Parts: sequence; structure tokens; C-alpha cells
Amino acid sequence: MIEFKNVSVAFQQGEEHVDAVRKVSLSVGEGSIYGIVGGSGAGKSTLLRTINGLQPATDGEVIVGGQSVSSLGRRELRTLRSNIGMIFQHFNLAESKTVCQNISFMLEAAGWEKSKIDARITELLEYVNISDKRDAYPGRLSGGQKQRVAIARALANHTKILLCDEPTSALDAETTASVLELLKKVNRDFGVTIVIITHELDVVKSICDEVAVMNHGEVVESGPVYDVFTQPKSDFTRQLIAHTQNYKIPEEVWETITGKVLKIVYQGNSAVEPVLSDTSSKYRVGYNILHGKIEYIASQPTGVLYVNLIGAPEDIDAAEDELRTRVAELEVIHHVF
Amino acid sequence: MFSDVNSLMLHVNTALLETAYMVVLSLIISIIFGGLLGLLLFVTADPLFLRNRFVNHVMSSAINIVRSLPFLILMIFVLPLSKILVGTKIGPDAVIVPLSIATIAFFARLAEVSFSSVSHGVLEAYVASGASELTVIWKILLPEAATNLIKNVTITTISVIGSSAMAGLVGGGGLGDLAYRYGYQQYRTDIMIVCVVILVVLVQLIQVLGDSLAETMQKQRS
Repeated sequence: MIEFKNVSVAFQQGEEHVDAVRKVSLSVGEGSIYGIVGGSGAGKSTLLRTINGLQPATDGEVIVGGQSVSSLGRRELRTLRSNIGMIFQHFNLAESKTVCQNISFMLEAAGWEKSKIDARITELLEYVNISDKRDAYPGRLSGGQKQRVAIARALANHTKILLCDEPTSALDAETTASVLELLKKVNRDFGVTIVIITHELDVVKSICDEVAVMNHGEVVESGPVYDVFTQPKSDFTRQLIAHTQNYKIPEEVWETITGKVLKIVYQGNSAVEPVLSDTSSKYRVGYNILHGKIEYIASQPTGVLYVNLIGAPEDIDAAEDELRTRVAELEVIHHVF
Repeated sequence: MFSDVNSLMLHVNTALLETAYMVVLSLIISIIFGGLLGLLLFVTADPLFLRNRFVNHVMSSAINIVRSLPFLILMIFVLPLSKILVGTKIGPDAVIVPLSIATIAFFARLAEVSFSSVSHGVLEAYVASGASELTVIWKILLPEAATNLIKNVTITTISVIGSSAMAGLVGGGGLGDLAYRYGYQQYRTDIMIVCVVILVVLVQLIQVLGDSLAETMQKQRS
């Protein structure tokens, strides 16, 4: 559906020459939800805007639905844009227009017949569950409501692609979850291809099928979300993930601990098998979970647990050896007898 | 000179009408052309629309040149042009030409600021919809900038009233002329006071009107 072929974007910012995007090649499949993560200034926003030509690529090619974006004339580019919806971190609704007027602008611009516009707006507002705000001005809406209106606006012209520029970064956790749920629903119900850029790994984990990790304008890694998050290949991705998996056990707790503390990384089946209780009963060691989390990425479990093994030293060693064969990764991080 | 209050009022009345005539006409011309120029300044600076550094620079410099001249100098300098355009170098009609030129430059800058204050993200969202630039300008940019534009029209109106007072120097008439010729040169303090009071009241009224209009618009949306 969307293909980046060796895409670079460079521009002049004052005196400075900026290589915002460097030689990016990616392919976004039709009907998928594709995440692009990276820190601020990584070039995510710039890359996203090459899809609808808001930012022309200075080198390489962006192909959307079989058409090369840079080869399009003004009129053709506008037709392409009318088939691509876009939502933003700060919603970007016109404050001088009601919810209804914000959406009807899109339909008028796309040449809809006046008689059909009203029914379409009713349908859209029902879909995003905000029918009662039809005649309200954006100033009266909460962040979550504004984003719902923005999604309705982006989908108005039966768009097939939805570009999301940090869609949840200005929202609280609860609202974020509901907006992500809505995006998932949009993807399922209408087969809309979604490209979402974010600095929040949780967003990618919860809704994306595939992900590309960007750093300094380059894609350092890309692939199915589960693979990238469980077996990161690049150092940058590893660091990014480590930030979300740093579990700190307080000093006071360390002082009371005897035996071995293992950091166990679970992936796939090991996360659902009773690995700990198996080894515990087999080698007569006790275990105490000190910290950690199991989470589900693309419906597959993965996680990290800090486990304290208690018992006779030789039993603990034997249990450790067995555990090592059954989990993805194991590291002894504390050892006191 | 004025035998009674009636005659004084007659003079004041005429002067007030002359001022109103000059101000309203120059204001209408300036809002149209200054607004257009401000819009051009904005769209030629913004990559979403028609960024063109050269055109932007030329317009910007032209505005700066006009704005660097004190109105009195500009007026005298431009009067020959009045002769060509309106056929006379004296009177309110002649003054409207320099007054409009100065005010176009003034309002163009204020309008540019008004357009720049519209959220860039909102404009981007609508350009991304595939609507033509002209549609986005007409249906999004202008309504979004409207409150700010009204405030700036208020400022401009008051500035035009101030400049129009100098019209007296070329026989342009108006309240400033009356205050200068009779109030100052002929020591008619009563006329001076009447003119000052009228100008103060006029400016207050315009400011209050402009503010309440902008406020009503803002209130409706929040």
C-alpha cells in the first residue's frame, strides 16, 4: 500500500543543513497498522509527511497505492490527499467551526453532494460515539473528544489510509487506551491502513502489527512488533526497550535477601508454562518473585521477572541450570549465602 | 469669528463629517488592499501555501519603506499622485490617497500577524485533506484569524483618525484642521476643547465597539 524506496529528506533550517530522513526503505502492507517509533528529532514526523506530500522527499521514492507521490501534479496530489486521512497530537480542529462544520469541510472539499453530507456526518459521529457534540465548538470538548472528532474528520471521505502523528501524546492513560481501541476498530471495520508515529512504546505494543525504529533519520530496525521487541537487533532498540524494562528493587529489600536473585526473560511459550513451580518442586527450592511484569505484544506473552531462589546452594544451582534451558534469557544478578 | 454657539456647532459638524469621510474611505481601501497584502505576505512565507522568498522580500521591503516615513512627509511626497488619481492636490479627496497608502502598509503588517497567529497545525490538517489552498485560505484561515483581525482593524481605525488630523496642513479639513487653525492659531480654546473631546469620545467608542465585537465572537466558541 505504502512503500518507501531509499527515501531521504534534507532541508535548510536557517544556516543549518538538516538530514531529517536518510535512505529509508520500508513497506507498509494494505490493512496493517504500522508503527514508527523513535525519540524527538528522529525524523518520524518528516517521514510520515512524505506519504501525503506535505513534505517532499528530496531523494528516493514514496509509492502510495501504486503512484509515486513526487511524480504527481498539483491536482493529482490533491486527489491523493483526499484519500488519506491524518490525525495529530494537538487534534488541529478549526476553533471557529463546530464539530459538524469541521467535518463537512472535508466532504465539501472532496466534492460531495450537499444532500449526502448531513447523513455522512451523522454516521461518522455515531461511529466515533460523539453524536451529542455535533454543534459544539472544539473549545468545549475534552482532549479525547477532540481526537474522536479528528478521527471522524480524517475518515469522512472514506479514506483508505490514516496517518497518525503522535495521536495519544497529549492524552491521559485512560483516554489513550480508548483512542487506540477506536483506531483498532477503524482498522478492523474498514480495512484502513494505519501508519502511526509515536515515542510511546506502549502504543506500538498495543495496536501495531509491524514497527520501524528510527534514530537520527535512519530506520535502525523494522519488522513484526513481537520480533522487534523480544529480539531487538540494534543497540538503539535494545536501549529503547531497556528503558521500559528497568525494574529497580529498593536497597532495603536487597539487604534482607539471601540465596540467588535471577533476572528471567520470558518469551512465547515459556511465559505461559509453569516453569517456576516445576523447577521449584523438582529441586526443592523456594521462589519469591521480587519484581517484574508479563505483557502481551501482538497477543503473545513476553516479560521480565526478578526471582529470588531460596534453598540449599547445590539445589539452587541445579534449579538455575534447569531454568536456563526453559526461558529465553537468564541472568544472575545477586548471590548471597 | 463664531458669533454664537450655532455657528461653532456648524463648523464642528462640517469638520466631523470631513474626518468621517476621510477615515471611512481610507479605511475601506486599506482593509481591502492591506488585508490582501498581509495575506500575500503570509502565504509567500509559508511552505504549506505558496512560499516564495523573492516575492515576500519585495513586498516586505516596500511596506517597510512606506512605514519608515512619518505621515506628514509621506503626505507631501505623495500629493502629486493625488493630482493624477483624484484630480486635486487639496481637500479631503486629495488626502485620502496618502492616507490610504500609509494605512495599507500599516494594516498589511497587522493582518500578517493575525494570519500568522492561526495554528499552523490546523492549516496543515486542512491542506492535508486535499482541499485547494484557496479554499483553505477562504474557509479556514480567514475565520480562524477573524477575532484577531477585528482587533487589528480597531487599532488601524484609531491610527487613521490620528493621521487624518494632519490633513489640515494641505487644506484637507477635518477635526484636526479645525483644532489647529482655530483652536491653536487663533487662540480659540473653546474650539480646541470641543475638538479634543470629540476625538477622545470617538476613539473610546471605536475601541469599545471593536473589543465587544471581538469578545462576542470569542465567547460564542468557548
